[in-house]
Amino acid sequence: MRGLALALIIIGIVALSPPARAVDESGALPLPVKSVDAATVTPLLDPDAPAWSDAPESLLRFNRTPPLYVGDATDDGHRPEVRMRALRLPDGSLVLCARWSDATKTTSGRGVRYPDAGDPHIYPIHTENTGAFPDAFCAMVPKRRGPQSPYPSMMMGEKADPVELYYWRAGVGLELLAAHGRASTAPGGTAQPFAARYHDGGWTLIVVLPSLTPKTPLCFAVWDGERQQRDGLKYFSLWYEAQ
Amino acid sequence: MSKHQYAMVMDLNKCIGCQTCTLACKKQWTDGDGMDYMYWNNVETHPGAGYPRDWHRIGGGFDAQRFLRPSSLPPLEDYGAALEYDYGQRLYGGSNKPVMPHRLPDYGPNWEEDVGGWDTNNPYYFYLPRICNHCTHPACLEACPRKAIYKRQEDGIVLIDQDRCRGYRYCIKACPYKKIYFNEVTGKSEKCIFCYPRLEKGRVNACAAQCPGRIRFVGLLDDPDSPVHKLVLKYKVALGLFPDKGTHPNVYYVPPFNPPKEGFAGRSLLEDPRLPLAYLKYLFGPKVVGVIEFLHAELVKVQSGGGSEVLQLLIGRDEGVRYRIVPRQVREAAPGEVGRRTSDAPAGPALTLMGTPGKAAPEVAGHAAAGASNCHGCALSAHCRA
Repeated sequence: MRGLALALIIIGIVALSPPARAVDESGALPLPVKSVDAATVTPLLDPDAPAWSDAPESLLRFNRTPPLYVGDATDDGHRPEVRMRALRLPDGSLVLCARWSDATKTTSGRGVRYPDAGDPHIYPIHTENTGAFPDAFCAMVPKRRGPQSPYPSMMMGEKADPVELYYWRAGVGLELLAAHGRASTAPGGTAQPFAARYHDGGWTLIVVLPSLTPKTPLCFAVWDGERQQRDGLKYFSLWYEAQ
Repeated sequence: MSKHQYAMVMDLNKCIGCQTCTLACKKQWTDGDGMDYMYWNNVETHPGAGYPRDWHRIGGGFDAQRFLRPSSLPPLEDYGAALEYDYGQRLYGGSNKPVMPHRLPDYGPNWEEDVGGWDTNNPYYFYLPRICNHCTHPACLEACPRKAIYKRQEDGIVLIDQDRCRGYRYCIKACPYKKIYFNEVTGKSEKCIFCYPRLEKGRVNACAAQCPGRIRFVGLLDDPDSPVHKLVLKYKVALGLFPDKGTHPNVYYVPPFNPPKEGFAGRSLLEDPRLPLAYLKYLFGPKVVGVIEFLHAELVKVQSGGGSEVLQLLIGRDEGVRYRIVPRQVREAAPGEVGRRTSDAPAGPALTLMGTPGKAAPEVAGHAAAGASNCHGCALSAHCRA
């Protein structure tokens, strides 16, 4: 009797449950976008450009990956405050302006030559720092764009659903990478224009993502170099959909 | 596990700390941008902190359960920043200032030269030359999330794929010997390559070729005719550094068995060791006592008019004794050659084996025979010409 009651309850729960989510109802959060009629992207690389002034700003939700390796720092509860604005150009490109808090500016050095005016044929460039990791930011989008695009694995995509990564590192610049799973990143093409500056306790970064049609999912990651973050040790967002 | 394994044995009783090996390596491999501070081969004084500072105390390798136990990442200060001198200003710029380094040094490779240790009336030290150990179980390889580090099947040499490396430096933290270095200019990690391009041409490693003390023996560990096979596996007089780190290093050391502190008055090396056995055990594990006992017995045998094959081998009179390089193409052409004793080899086309008597590679042969025209300018050059 008790078993029958339990079965009826289970049947009732199943019957009353909403239908499974369609692909386009993935739970991705909306990322408001302002359309602009700019002919070129260059003026938009200035975060003080008029086009950005009334662009809607979103406060993104970030989490931290668990420690991956022995000795990795555990989550200390800190999260960067990441604010995002987005402009869509007539050609479909998306221009993102990310502003995130980072108390310490950590850049990747490129070495120093001594003496400063030394003959490069005589004096090699010196490594000055062996333990620093740069602050970094990444926007990940599926290679297949548009409203029907899949939601690839958040761990750098997968074989069937590869991703593109717009990966910026302080002191290095912006790289375009391709990936189809963990540890599979490889150069992915010509990097797009970008602008970055550190001020008032945080970074402002503007990157251009070409051909990002509405409803294309995208997600983000931030690395704090001061916390020795690199590789999979980072802050990450879940999927957003550019509106 | 690789099919073959190149290995090196260094006889610490013969190392004079001249750093010729260090410079040979530096000039051959690490004089490029971003490589200024790195010495793939270095020689440090022990007991001592070493290079980078305290590398042997800060961790790395595996624990007893085979889990990685990474260390912290050594800062540049622990390696010692390389110094530059503004020769241009001094020689051509009209400056009367003395040539000074661009910064004051406060640490560097072999910073503690000849300091060593001390007990009552007994200062002691020895030199420890170090390269990448090309481990059988490389902790660096296991730590790399990019799978950028690989161990070559054909000879066991451990390399970093510079296209895959992204400079995360987990390998540096994992290596118990701290023999991987970060190049800030390229943003990638770099390390000793065991001179594989030289080996593939039948030439021995640069550090070994230039060593005036003739302390280094090179060959395939699985080749019964190679000196490293004899020293490591037959006579068992060469030991890896820090065996407890669990990586199974393939660079081996004949431990220093200096004469007794108080001379030869009937006391053995073990009864009155000049170098504290505890420190040697710390470096080479408990087997070091047995090695010293064996070598001491061999020494006594020779002093009594007997012979000792292992001591003869350790003298390393010429490159035919010290090296046996079997290039890959030779191994592929005659796959049975490695693992077969020379006396068992069938008649056939002569193999170009460096280390086979009478077939020394020109560079090394030149050291002994060619005279000033081919001399490397080391401390032994006068001896060679004589």
